Amino acid sequence: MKKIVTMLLSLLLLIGIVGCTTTENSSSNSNSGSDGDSQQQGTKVLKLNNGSEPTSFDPPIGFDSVSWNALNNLMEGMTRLDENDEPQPATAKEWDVSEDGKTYTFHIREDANWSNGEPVTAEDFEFAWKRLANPDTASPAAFLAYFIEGAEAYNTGEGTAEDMMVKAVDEKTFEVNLSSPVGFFPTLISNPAFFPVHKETVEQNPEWHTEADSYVSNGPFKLSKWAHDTEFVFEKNEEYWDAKSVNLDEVHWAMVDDTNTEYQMFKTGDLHTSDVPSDLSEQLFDEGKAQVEDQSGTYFYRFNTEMEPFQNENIRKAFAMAVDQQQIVEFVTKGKEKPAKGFVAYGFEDPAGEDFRDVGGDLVTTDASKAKELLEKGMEEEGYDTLPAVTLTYNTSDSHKKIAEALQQMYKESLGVDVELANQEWNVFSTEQKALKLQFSRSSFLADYADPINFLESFQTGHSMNRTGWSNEKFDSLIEQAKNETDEEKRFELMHEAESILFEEMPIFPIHYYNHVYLQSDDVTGIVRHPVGYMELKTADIK
Amino acid sequence: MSLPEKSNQKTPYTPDDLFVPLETSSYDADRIAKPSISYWKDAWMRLAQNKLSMAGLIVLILLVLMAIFGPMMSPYSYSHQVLTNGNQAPSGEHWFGTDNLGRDMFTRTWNGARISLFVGFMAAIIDFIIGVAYGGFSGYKGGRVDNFMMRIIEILYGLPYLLMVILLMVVMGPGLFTIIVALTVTGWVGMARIVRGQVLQLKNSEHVLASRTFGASAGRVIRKNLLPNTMGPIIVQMTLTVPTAIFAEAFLSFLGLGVQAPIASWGVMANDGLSVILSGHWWRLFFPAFFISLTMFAFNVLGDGLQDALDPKLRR
Amino acid sequence: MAKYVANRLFAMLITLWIIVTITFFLMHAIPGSPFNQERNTSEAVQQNLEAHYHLNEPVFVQYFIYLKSLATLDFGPSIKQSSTSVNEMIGRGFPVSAELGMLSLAIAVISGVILGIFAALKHNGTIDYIAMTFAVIGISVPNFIMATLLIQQLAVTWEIFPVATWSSPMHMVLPAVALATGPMAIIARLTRSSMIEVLNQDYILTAKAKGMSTYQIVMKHAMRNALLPVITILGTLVAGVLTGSFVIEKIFAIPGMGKYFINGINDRDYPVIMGTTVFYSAFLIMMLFIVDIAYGILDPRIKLHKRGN
Repeated sequence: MKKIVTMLLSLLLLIGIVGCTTTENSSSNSNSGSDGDSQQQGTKVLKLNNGSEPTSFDPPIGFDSVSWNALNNLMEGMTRLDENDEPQPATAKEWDVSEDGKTYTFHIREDANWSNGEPVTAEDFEFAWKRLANPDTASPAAFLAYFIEGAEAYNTGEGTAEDMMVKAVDEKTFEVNLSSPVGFFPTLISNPAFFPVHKETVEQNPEWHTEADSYVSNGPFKLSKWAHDTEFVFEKNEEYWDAKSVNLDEVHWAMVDDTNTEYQMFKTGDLHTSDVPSDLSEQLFDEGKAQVEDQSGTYFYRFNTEMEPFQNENIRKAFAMAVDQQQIVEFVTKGKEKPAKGFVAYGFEDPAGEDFRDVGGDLVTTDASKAKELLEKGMEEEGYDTLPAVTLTYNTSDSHKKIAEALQQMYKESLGVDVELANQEWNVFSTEQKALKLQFSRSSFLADYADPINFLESFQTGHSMNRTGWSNEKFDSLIEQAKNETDEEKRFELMHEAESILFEEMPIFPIHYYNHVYLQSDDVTGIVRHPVGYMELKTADIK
Repeated sequence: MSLPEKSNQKTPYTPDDLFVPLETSSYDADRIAKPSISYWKDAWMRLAQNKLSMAGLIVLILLVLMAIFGPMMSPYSYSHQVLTNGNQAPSGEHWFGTDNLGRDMFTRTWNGARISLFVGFMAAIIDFIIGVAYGGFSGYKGGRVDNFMMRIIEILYGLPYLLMVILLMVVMGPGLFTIIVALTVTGWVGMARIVRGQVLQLKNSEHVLASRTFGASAGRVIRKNLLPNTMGPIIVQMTLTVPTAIFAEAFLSFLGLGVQAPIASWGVMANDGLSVILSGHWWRLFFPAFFISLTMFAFNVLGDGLQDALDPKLRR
Repeated sequence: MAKYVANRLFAMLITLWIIVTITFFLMHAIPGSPFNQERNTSEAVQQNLEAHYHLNEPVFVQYFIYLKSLATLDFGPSIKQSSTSVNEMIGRGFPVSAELGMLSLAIAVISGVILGIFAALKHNGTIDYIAMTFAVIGISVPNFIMATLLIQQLAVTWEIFPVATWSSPMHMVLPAVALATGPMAIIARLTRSSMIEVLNQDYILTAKAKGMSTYQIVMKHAMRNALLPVITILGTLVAGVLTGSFVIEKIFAIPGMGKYFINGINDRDYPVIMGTTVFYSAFLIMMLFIVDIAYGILDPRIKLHKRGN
């Protein structure tokens, strides 16, 4: 027995000693190794953080930023967004639009090739787009294809693949019929959901997208290494038609899922860009280090119009007007967000070249005394002596909590109402919000495609994004009209009218528009972050 | 007795002369000089002599008193925000500084103490009761019963805690009671295993056998013979439960089980304040973390003292 | 002994089956869905996804489908990371977590036992206080604070160690230390208290009276009995450290198993929840079993094969 213990202990000691010595030995190696890597050979290596393992590099599957930010640089659709967020010819050299705006004919570049050297064909696109809508693919992004004639029917199982109106006319010509004239179609198809896939590869190997070896891409970069859960590496794709404009030789993507750590790695030079830990944003803005880029989306709150006391419009308005958005962005979030007074974010120009938001103006104002008045009026209408208890629910996160706490104080001061706070685990929260079980809850919206209609269509009756129980016939018909309107000017008018109805009845109220606060090494230039869309590295360069 | 006889023999300088007969009756000789005191009373007396342990006890009492009266000592409320006054360092105005929303950290710290201390104490006590009863019974009975009871513990260990807790939250809704239930639903198994291990070791020792021979019931044997001898590991385990519970509460708050904002326990404050390590607003992390450590320290020294005091082998 | 082991192994299977069953119905009982997103998900898309993963079938049917695939040790594909199977996840994550866990356990056991013994030998002396202060800090400073402090001081300010990731032995030091502090403190406390108890035993006093040196007494007599409580908790500690290092793995961006436990549940990724639970439970039950055996070997007072009398 004695021996066993002694042995056990010596074994543990041994492990400890070996562990210690190996760490000492390798310390010098690892230091010199990591430093020398990039500079010695003169290769340009960009070091980014992807946050976590991409859910999938199969275009229709990985419907999230951890997959599509990277994928956007591996593949290329018919179009690609430029630095002004305008669609430019990419895999398509050019395209024709029919008079009624419903038929698009794309002409694919002669020199558009896959990373395996084979040409990108119209058939690849037809295959990929039908795969997107195929119910068996179960793509979460399939609804983006619904603008195409027959795609919705195919996806919901009511139609067949043949009914979906996408067609390879010849090897390099691709024709699409839309169900309604969609002016922003060229912008829409820059989205990774519409990326082509190499038909032969996909048919031969359904697992083609899971490893670097079998991955075939047609974008500025190719996947050269993928150590799952650890990192993946891009290499410049020499087969890319515009390879001469690509400056970087390699992009290393780490998977660091902690903002503090990410920031610390940025400080030690292990990363070229980083997000900003919430408590540091003020400081870093003051030092002029943090940068801001708009993101097309809105942080807002939903009222449940089927639950007391928010069935009453005036009470809803009172709760909306008691909120001071300016104070929240200035003292609570401190991220230089723009306070939101409407639902559609900045960044959408109408035919006259003016921003949708500027034309729409402020649709909700901060006015404590008016809010108090409206609350009393609403209570009178409903016959309340005291307001039914109000619980504000948010899904757990420091930033949501801060805003909720600030709102709670604003309601106490402006309306004299004590609001209870409740936080929930994300999935429970989401389920309950969708089932209209929450009285008053935080929400967010990030645009899936770059058009105000994407924001506004959410509040159609019964839409999966509605989640308020709110329904307005006039609003519904305005959205329908806007979707079928070919005259852009008229279309914007319809959308403005719809937005003002939304704010007249106030089933929601906005807090701020989203932005992206980040740090970036001075050596790095040319990374484009689109308000709608994904990170662009084609133009990126490093000193 | 032959003593009186001997004293009658008046022979000087005999060795017997050195032994002077006792005047007192033999009854007195058998009397126990020290009053009989109970095990617990003796333990308390020994504990009171341990200065460090008493210091720990006093610190704990002070912490509890501050938790009760601390929030009243400052003119601020724990929830009132002065948004323009965020992240102020400790000063005469705000003794512990202010947090990011400009709330007074002193008030918030002592307000949070109420939750953290309550949760810590309750978890320790409930774990102790269930763990000792379960582990003691299992170890004492042994055999099939023990086997079966240990398998139940394994099941509790194996089930994903997060799932159970989310279900609890959905069924019971948020609140302090839910927190206590969530903490103790599996919290006691560690204690139970330790007690069982000790009981298995001790139950065949002589004093236990003696007690059983006299027909002592299982409960009596466990209480009188086994428990006092396992107090050491039990107390260590209990002192470990307190900080674990304080931090587990923060984790449970994250799932929405806990007390709701703007009230914040020490654990939640320490969690929220993590990024201040980078931003330099140290007071937002330091004060909650310091008082958690202080509580922990007080429990430890008190635990050490208790351990010595309760050990029957050290009894005088 | 052989019969005892066989019995225990059989009991383990039953225990596992009960855990699987409870977990399966538990995870379907809590609200949420793997396809819950803040963003738009159309009704039809949702249905396609559910059909794809058989989630539209009654829970009982799903349960038997799952048991069937479990019998072949196939945990199925992850729903969230649809191109990865749960077996692959465990295969990738476990070795990393095991490496981190063993390293930090080695640190914890060695330093904890040494601290505990010294504290006990100098009971109520300066070393005792220093060691126990150390232990108290170790327990009361949670590892996520410890980790952030370590990175900030040793990696960012002094640049001795790399900040994060898992690519060289140098990268392993900070996470292993951060993860070891808690268990180390617990082990130190336990060792100290049981050591104090053992040192007061008659046989130790006898050994002292015989003139044995302190070192000999500790090594030859006291250690073995003093470590029994440590071994009791070692089983759960091993399982906990190997699989419960989620926070440390997250902070240091270590590709271990920890995140699958948490993310699987957060995402309601049912196959991942089941796979990790089965794996973890099996591992844990195994550890508890080993601890029982080790206990029997180390402590002559317990006779395993005689239990049941």
